[in-house]
Amino acid sequence: MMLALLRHPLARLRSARLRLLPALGWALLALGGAAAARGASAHAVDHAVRGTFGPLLLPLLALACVGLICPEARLDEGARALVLLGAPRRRAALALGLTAMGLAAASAGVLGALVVAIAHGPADAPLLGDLVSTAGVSALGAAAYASYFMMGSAYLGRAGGGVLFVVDFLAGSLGAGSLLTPRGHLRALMGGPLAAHLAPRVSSVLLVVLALAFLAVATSRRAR
Amino acid sequence: MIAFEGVRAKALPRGTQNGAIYTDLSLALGAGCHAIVGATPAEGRLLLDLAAGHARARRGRVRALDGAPGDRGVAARTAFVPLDVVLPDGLTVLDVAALEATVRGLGAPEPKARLARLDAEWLGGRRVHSLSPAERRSVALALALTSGATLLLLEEPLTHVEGRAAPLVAPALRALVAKGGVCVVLTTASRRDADLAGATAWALRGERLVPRSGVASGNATLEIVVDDPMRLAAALAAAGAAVTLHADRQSVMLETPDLDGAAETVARVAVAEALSVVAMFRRGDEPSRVLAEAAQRLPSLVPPPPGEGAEPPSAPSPAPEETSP
Repeated sequence: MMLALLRHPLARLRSARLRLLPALGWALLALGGAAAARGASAHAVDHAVRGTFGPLLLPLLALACVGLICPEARLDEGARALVLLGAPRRRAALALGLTAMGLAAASAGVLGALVVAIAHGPADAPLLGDLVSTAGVSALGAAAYASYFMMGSAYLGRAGGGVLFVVDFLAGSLGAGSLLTPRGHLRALMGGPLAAHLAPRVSSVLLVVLALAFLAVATSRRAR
Repeated sequence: MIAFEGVRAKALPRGTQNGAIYTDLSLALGAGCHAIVGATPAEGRLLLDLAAGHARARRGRVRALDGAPGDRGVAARTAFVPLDVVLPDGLTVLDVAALEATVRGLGAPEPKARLARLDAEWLGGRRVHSLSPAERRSVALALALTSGATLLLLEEPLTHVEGRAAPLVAPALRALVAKGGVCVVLTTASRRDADLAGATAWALRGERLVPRSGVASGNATLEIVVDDPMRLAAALAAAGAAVTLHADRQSVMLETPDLDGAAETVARVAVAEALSVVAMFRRGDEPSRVLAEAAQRLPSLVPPPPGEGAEPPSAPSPAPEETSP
């Protein structure tokens, strides 16, 4: 049944058109930033990935992906069409949530790889390894961000994603905040300072756990 | 099929003044067609939301089809069509029908045949986001009626429906209920709609369901299809022919304890007012079984000879084979 339920969000994606613009805008900005960073410093990839892409454009891309799949903001409302066709409420919400996370992960993964490919210079780490690791980390981070924003929307409506973006921006660098939001872990995985002195491997596991926990909270919330 | 026991629930939609609060709602409805008439829109909607599992009871217990509403098995056998129906917007109508059949897994017929039940197969190739709200409702009703669901929850099923589908909803509901084993619960503001759907009418009094009086009290309902219903209604009201009168764009309905007397008054008034009576029948009978008996007895229904001032009614005289000796 789950595969059948995915037809609704995938059809939304196919017919998105103008709603694709925000995601395309952030992607172009990331590619432009990578091109600008190329040759500007010895470690252009680090600058491009840790400077603008990771902390700013990746969360915004994830937010745009959530908006694409669930323009109603709340997963519960987005899944209502499926619920009226006889699907269990939580499964329907899960179908939308997983699609949004998958879309965010795929687009951020591809974009992360492109950023590395564009900005890569002679002083950077070997291209292939950097490409694969950045793509993987970006995909994981974007999936966590997508579920994080969906949780925000579930409780705060349309403004929820934006509010949690600000919370992540402000608290993501602090001790406890970096543990509970995706920013600190993502930064650690991209080669920045560690989140609360945890090893990057632990951060990657925590990122998966956070993504699943945020998704569980987002899908359990009823609109009324 | 559905049972509420001491349910406490509320719905206070944002941005509206109209909400509904139940503090101790108890009811039980079995198989058949049930209409909850006269509840406020918010009350009716909350009741359906609770039965469908879309709203949660703060206290008490709601049972639907021997399970909790919204559970996997119950949700698949429950069809809910609210006024603000939402369908998957990126899919075509035929895709939606196929998706619904897959989700429910109740062996629904082929999508085109399902839409044809309400003459909505012409919408099959359209994407849902291009449908008007009335077209969406028609599609949702067609799917609900043919889904194989055992519990149908319908909010105002005879209104806000696309023009071609509108006259087919009530007969389809009657046919579905006649098959048996189905519980249809509909909320409506109109007693007439409840009658059309062949539903048992209930009213909510003190958070309990009580039968709505009407035909049961000895009154019968006569429907007259006429070219100017408003004028006929005004004339009938002046003549004091009915207990209650209701007129819309096509017909006048009057509730009366004396059917024959009312039919006679209608005929008299129609001739006096030069109105064209197309059909006159008792509600509950099939429309084809026109009250020819009464009409035949009334010479006044025969078009007056030209020159008497009154315009001859365009209605055909009732079929003679239906008359009784």
